[in-house]
Amino acid sequence: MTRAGKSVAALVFAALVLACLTGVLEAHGVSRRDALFVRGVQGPAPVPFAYLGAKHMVTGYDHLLFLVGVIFFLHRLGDVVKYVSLFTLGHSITLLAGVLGDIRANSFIIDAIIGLSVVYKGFENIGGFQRVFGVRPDPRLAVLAFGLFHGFGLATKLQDLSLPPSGLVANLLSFNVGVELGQGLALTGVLIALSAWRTVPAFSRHAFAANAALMTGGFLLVGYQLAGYWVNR
Amino acid sequence: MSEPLLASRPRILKATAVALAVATALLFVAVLPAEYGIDPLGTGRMLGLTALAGVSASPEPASTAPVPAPTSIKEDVYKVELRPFEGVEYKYRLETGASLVYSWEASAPVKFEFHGEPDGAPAKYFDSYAKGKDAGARGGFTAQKPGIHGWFWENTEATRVTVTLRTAGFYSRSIEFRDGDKIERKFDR
Repeated sequence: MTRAGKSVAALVFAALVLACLTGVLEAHGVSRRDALFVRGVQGPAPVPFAYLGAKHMVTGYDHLLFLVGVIFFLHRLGDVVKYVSLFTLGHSITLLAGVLGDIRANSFIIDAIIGLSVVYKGFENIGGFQRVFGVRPDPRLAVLAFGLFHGFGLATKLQDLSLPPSGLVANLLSFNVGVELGQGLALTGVLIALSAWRTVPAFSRHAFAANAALMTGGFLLVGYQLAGYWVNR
Repeated sequence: MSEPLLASRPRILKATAVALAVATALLFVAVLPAEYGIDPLGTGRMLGLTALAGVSASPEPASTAPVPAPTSIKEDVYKVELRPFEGVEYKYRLETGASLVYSWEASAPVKFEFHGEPDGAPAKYFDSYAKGKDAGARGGFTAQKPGIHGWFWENTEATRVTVTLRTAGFYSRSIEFRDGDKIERKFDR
């Protein structure tokens, strides 16, 4: 094995071990251990970065809550693919542009908007926009727009790690690929659970409560992030 | 196209209000005390949640297994950004008689203490070598006892501060204590 190959293999192994050791949901932040790893990376390390991206998505409950909201009432696989692609398009644009263009946004504000996206989706799912405002904004546009914010959230997290410039583009793309893989993985689980749930006769009653709970989680995230902004300002 | 529910307007408004109320209650009762130590209702102290926010790096004594001193010189750069009022520790494993030279600088003055924890010492015991508040320091150091030796830095301001440490010496590993985490890094022999 080449020296580079060996070190990549060692890093992947280390990342897996650390992931097992950490083993906790971290809403956002890439953990300190991962941060230390990222800071020390020299040159492209595609697999570890893809792993970090996937881990971020699978353990990032705000992204997951939003996706649950998005696919809650999507019955056809084609629709799921369409909406998830729009979300992916949105967050890929801002992830790449944010890091490569060195666009800095306050991560607390971005995360508060991500929390708001969860509230939005829950409210939309129970028919809130038609009933309360008499008009329902195009859900495809909404998912794309919130995708842009979610991508900015990913970008601020990566920027916090002070990425070494060597191999930046390759590592960034690997991270993005990992994000999509993690998203696919998480979505598969959510879809299976939702399909099973839909066969229950009381689903529509449950669905209302579930989306109200989604709004609660979203509101909580907004409050948590705004408090963080206030504390760290 | 998705087919969302179309609940009645009062039901939607009620659900939204309840969601907001429950979220606000959870935020003030549990999340703010546990995450930030903000405890306006006193519930955090009552439930023991504020302790979570106050967790500081409690340095455990390093493993006392005898480690052969490295025979080749190592170099290290450690850079850290401290949030307002945040503290961090960064130490090196040095055997008796092993030396290092160091230079650190901060983007603004920080509280610091250069100290060591000898192997087998009781919890919280440490030897202090230098302390104060400054934007940097440099010098050399030779360990009189085997153990971990290094720096504690604390940002006492409301703005972010970056601390950069550069060292060269005969250490085998470094240990970072931050956010209650202990992160070790081994240097190749």
